[in-house]
Amino acid sequence: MNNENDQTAERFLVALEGWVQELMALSQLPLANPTKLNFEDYTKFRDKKEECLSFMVIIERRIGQGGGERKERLTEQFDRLVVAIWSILMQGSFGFLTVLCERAQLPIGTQHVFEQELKTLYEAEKALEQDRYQNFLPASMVEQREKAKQILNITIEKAPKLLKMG
Amino acid sequence: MKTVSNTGAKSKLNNNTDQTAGEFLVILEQRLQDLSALSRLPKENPDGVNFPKYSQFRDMMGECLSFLIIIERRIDQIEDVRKDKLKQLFDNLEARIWSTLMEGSLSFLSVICEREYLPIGTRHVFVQEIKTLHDADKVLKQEKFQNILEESTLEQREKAELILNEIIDRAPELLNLGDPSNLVDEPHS
Repeated sequence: MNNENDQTAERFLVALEGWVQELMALSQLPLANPTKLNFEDYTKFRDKKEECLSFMVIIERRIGQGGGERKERLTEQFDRLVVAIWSILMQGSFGFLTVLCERAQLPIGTQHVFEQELKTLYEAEKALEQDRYQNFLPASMVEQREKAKQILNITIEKAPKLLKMG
Repeated sequence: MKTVSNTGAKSKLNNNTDQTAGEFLVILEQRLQDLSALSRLPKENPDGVNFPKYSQFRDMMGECLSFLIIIERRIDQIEDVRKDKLKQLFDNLEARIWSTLMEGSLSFLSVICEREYLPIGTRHVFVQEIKTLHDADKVLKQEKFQNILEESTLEQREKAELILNEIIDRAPELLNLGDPSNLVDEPHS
């Protein structure tokens, strides 16, 4: 039973790696082509994000049900993927927020984007500051995280106006 | 001797931050009422549950959670005695919001699962609510909430745990992840 579970977890990890490639491509859209960015691009990014995060929940639980050396190996594989996903989400979030902020007229759906990406940046930062992931963070992420923290702080300061909270 | 003090400006800023944090807590309390009403829809009118109603629940969830982030930061910036009181109010509100989200998530999932034909968008609902239940469970397990959770929330958490495990076991079918053995090529023996 454990063996089957581990094999499933392993296959799910491979499948998730595939989805992460797609997520990465979507996260690069804002910087690759800022003038053509539209809400549909953002929706694709957001949908893929949600799929990846849910898949992570599923895989984490499956790995949790296993044991022994295989569990350790799978956990390490999983942790690396978690770091990759949150790093990509941080970059994507940052990209979408930056491009939108620079537009003279904010398109419909901006409030929704700000809310969602505020949450993404916040969760990404909370996830990546955990001790267990520090060995898997590449050097480039240090700068990225500083930038994301700054954007997060600015967004939070401006949030009441942006989100019409009064 | 002239002494320059910026405590005046600083305390004015702190006062503004306290007020803002306090005002935001009041606004969020109102939003929670709206969220509560939306989370009860599936139980009160299961036949009336549809994707637009679910979207309203999700939109309000998004607002409330963003609001929590903003208020938490504002309270962190406060340096005087009001901080503790505001923190307490915040923790209480946070616990109630996540309890409401857990309840709403369970309700929408239950109604959808009981339908003879799963409506369009079901996959989307499952994907999102797996994360909501998981996050709600993680948040509500925190030490700081243990003395303020109501009995009904503790029961909900157990129910959520069962549903989550069941969904996760069935996830490949429900989420069209397919038979796990189809996800990658089988190694040749």
